[in-house]
Parts: sequence; structure tokens; C-alpha cells
Amino acid sequence: MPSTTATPELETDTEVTFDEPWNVLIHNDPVNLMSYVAHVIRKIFGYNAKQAEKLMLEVHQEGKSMVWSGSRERAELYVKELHGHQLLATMEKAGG
Amino acid sequence: MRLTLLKEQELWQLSDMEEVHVELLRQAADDASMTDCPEGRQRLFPSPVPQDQRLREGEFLEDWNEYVTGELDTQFAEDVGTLLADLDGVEIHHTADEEPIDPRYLVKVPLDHAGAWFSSLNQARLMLDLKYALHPDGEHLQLQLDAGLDEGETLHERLAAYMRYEFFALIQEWLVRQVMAADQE
Repeated sequence: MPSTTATPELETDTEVTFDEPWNVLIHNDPVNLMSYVAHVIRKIFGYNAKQAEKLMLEVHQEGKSMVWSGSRERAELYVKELHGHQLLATMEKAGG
Repeated sequence: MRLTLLKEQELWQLSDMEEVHVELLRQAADDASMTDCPEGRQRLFPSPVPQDQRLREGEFLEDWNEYVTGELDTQFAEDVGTLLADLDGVEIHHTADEEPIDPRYLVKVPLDHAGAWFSSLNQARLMLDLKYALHPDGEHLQLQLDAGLDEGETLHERLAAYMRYEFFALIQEWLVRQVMAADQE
């Protein structure tokens, strides 16, 4: 009897999709100082001064800025930290 | 009033303060804890998701309100407590060669209390903004002396609110630039 080697069937799942990332947004408010908003962005996300300034100006001039994108769990933590610094922040699934 | 950073001693200080300055700072604690301004509380503890997503995030929001809001509430109250405790250490000071007619006050604050001071003054300004509608059109501070006075609210009260709002902002701007930003350099 010839020996046979079973070839395992490779299961493929064409339905698998990667989770869409979540965006963290900071919204403009008239009370928080611009210097403070830039400071908090640097402190929490580790951006350099120039990047933080750019994002802060986006918040100020356009009403909001998407400051980070990634997993839902991290987004929740970042929003919590931003609220802890009394900034208006929300998280939403990328693409609505 | 003079604000000075004393890096070597790990302190910053408010010196040459008149009594009114000390009173205004104590008032920040009351402003931050305003109980007659529910809009202010909503602003301090905003929703983590936009309005149109709140329905589908019901369970998540319940958890958020229970755990995160509770934790932040405690943190903000502790920040105010830190400011008040530091103010308890206020002392009268005189320059070496002269005794001022009116006493001058001095308070020394550890560098690592800067965040708590900023938070307390910010809480106070957020509450004042909403209670007295200081930014009726969004972006710019507007001195509206006769508009929207609530029952029992006096013109004097409203003017005092503007003054405190600006006084607190001045200290905050100095703190963020001179003390808090130093950690990022």
C-alpha cells in the first residue's frame, strides 16, 4: 500500500475584514488657551512642537482636528486623557 | 502681582499680591464647583462620541459615565483641593527696606502642582463662561453687561465674573508657557 501524505486543506475566509480604525478628534471651544491645546497635544500624543501647533491651529480655525487614528481601545484611552485635560474630544469610526 | 519661576527650588510663586488677588484665587475654587450651572458640568464631562452615535453606543456610554466620569470628577475635585491647600500657605511679605501701607502676600507652589492649579483655574473659567454666557457667538469674549442677566444676577456679579475669567487666564497663560511647557523642552 503506497503511503500517502494527507494534504491539509487550506481554509480561506473571504469574509474576513480588518476592523476600521477609530479617529480621535479635538473640537474647538472658546475657553481653552491655544498654547494649552498645543501643549496637551504634545504631551498626550508625543508630537513635536511644529506638528502640535499645526493641529491646534486646525482645531482653532476649522472647528476640529483629527489628531490620532487607530484601535478603538487606544482611542478610548486618548479621549479619556483629553477630557482629563478638559479639552472637548470625541472618537468615531473612520468612514462614519 | 508677580509670577516667578524658581527652578532650583522646584517652586513657582505668586508674590506682591494684594488681598484682592488672594480672594480672587480662593474664589476660583467656588467657581470651579458651581452647583447652579448644569451646562458647566456637561462641558466638564462631555460625551466621548458625537450626538448621532450616542444611540448605538448606549452600553459603552453607560460604562463611560460610571467609570470615566466618576474618576475625572474625583481628579478635578482633588485639583481644586490642591489649589486651596497651597493658598492656605499664603504669607504676608515685606520688601527689605520698606513696609507697604497695604500688606502684600506671597504664596509658594511646588512645580508639580502647576497642573492642578491650571486645572482648577480652567474649571472655573469653563463654568464662568457657561453661567455668564461670556462667548455668546462662539469664539470671542464679549462684555455683554445688560444681556441675559438671570433672575437675581446683578451687573456687579457679571462684571466680577469677567474680571475673574481674565485674571485666571493670565495666570494660566504664564503657567503653560513658563512651567508646564518646560517638561517638553
